[in-house]
Amino acid sequence: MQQQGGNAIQVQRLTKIYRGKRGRPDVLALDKVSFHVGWGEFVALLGENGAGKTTAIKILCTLVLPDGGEASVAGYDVVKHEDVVRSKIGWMHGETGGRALYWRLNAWDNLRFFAYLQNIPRDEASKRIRALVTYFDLEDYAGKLVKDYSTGMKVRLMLARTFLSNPDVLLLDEPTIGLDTSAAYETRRLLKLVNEELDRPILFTSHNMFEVEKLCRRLILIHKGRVIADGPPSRLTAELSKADAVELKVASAPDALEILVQEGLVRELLKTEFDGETSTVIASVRDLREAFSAIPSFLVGHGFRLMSIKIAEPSLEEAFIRLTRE
Amino acid sequence: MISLDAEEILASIRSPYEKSGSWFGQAWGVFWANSKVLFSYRTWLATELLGMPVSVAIYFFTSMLVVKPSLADAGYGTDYLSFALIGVSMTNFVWVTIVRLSHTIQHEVEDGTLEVVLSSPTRMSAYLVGQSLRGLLLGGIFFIATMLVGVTFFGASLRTDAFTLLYAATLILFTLFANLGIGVVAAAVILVYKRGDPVVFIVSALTEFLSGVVYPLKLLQGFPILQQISIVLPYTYGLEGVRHLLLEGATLQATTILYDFMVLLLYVLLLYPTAFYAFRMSFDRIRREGTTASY
Repeated sequence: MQQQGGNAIQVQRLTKIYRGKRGRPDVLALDKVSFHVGWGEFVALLGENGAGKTTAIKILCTLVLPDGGEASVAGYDVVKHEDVVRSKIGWMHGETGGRALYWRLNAWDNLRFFAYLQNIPRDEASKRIRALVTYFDLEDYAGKLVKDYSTGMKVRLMLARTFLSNPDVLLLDEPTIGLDTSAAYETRRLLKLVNEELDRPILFTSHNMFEVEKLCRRLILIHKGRVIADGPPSRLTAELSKADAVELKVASAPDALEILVQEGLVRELLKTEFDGETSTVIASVRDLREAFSAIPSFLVGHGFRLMSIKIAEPSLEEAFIRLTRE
Repeated sequence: MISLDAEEILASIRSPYEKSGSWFGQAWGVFWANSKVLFSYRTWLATELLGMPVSVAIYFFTSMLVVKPSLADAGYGTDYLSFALIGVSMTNFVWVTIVRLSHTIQHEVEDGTLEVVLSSPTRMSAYLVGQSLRGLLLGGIFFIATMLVGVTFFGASLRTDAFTLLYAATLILFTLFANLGIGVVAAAVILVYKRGDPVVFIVSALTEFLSGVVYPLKLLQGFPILQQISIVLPYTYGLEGVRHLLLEGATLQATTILYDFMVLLLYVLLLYPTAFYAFRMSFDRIRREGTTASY
């Protein structure tokens, strides 16, 4: 792989506004977003639905034109050198649930068609297609029309198509959506290998935090079109743990602990678990020091049996929820 | 579940290869894949082909009612069936080719497959040519089938010597190329508006009405405005020329045929840059609007 200097993906103050039609308001999808993905990095672009992830990915794969800022892939500007960028990327949009395939063709022909578009020589294409069809467990169905495939099979075929040309940079929008446990596991394994062994940079989006923690060394959290966090998952959770969350164990049903919110002692109950006797609650607070003095005395004063209180170590999922809610 | 080891697939993916970099390869790929999609609709294809004898029969019986001297007066002999057969089958040929292009793009936007094509290194011109060739193949099959049915079962009288057929095929292809520019403009409009096909609707309605498909153009002499419009339509020239070739045995050297060729060439030169520019503008517009797919 020819690596240009700098980063595999460089995004600088990228702005995208979808103009409202027929009196509808404009939508600011990306608001001066900046981030980068280095060569060999595996980075997750996270955010709630509508946060701007897909817009960012589509700008990077030249399907959407930005209104401001700059973006480059493999050192090439996505607007000025769109043709070169297209020859460098492998893009997959899992959210389509396999729609972006030719349903009246079988798997062989779908991949063969894409090989033509990618200018892969015939013999080489045949070899790659056979290997990918086998790897993604599509052999038994490869001769059947895609319209008869399950969603998981379609997603696997889209993944096979993404890898066909051995792209320099992978842009994967929810690549494991709709896959069963086994296929999702194999896909994650392949992504990790492609990233580590082939040194391919990967920018991917997912709503599956387990997957993100498993795969990514860095994550970029995007919310309402802005980057609100960028760093390793551990740093994100560690920073949040220092900030403002406590974990309480109380011998009571969790509903009763809503009183803590009503009394203003905690801001929000982020997570509650109840094992039949004890509730474990993670709650965000305004001030840790104040929480450690006020909550125990309040609970004891109101007849609760407080078993422990400590600073909470949020999971990535909790961190995501807290950051996006703020 | 998966029989091939991840390391094996990595070895396969990483093996180096020289990209063929061929425009023709991409155009062929688009043509090949889309033709396969089209011919997978076997019931539809069979129905279309079986419907042909019926449409030819309609013109056969209509020919019995037509006042033949007006045909002879216009220089087309007295065989209305042959006259109408050429008009109708060639019109179908042209419009099947053109409509296929815009309809396919409409479907590709809806399905999201256009995004996959557009995010690959596919040359836009290769994509449009590949799609057009697919329409050409389908239209050609319908055209030849209709003509065969007309000549074989209904006794249409056409010149069928090798040179005449070759001349006619050349002029028909020229007519198609001239009209495909309109098809690309129609595709550009579909790309933006997603639904409806106003360009094809307007041009096909005008063409069928005013290009002399089922009546001689001389009949328009009493309607100057309509006659002016018919002169602007490229299809008018192609159809006139093909009729002169197949009904009267004119050759490519004939002044009228050369004139038709020149006019069609002018349309090709004018329409293609405009059409490709329009398509490019539409493509950039949907990229600004973020509507390269509508799933």
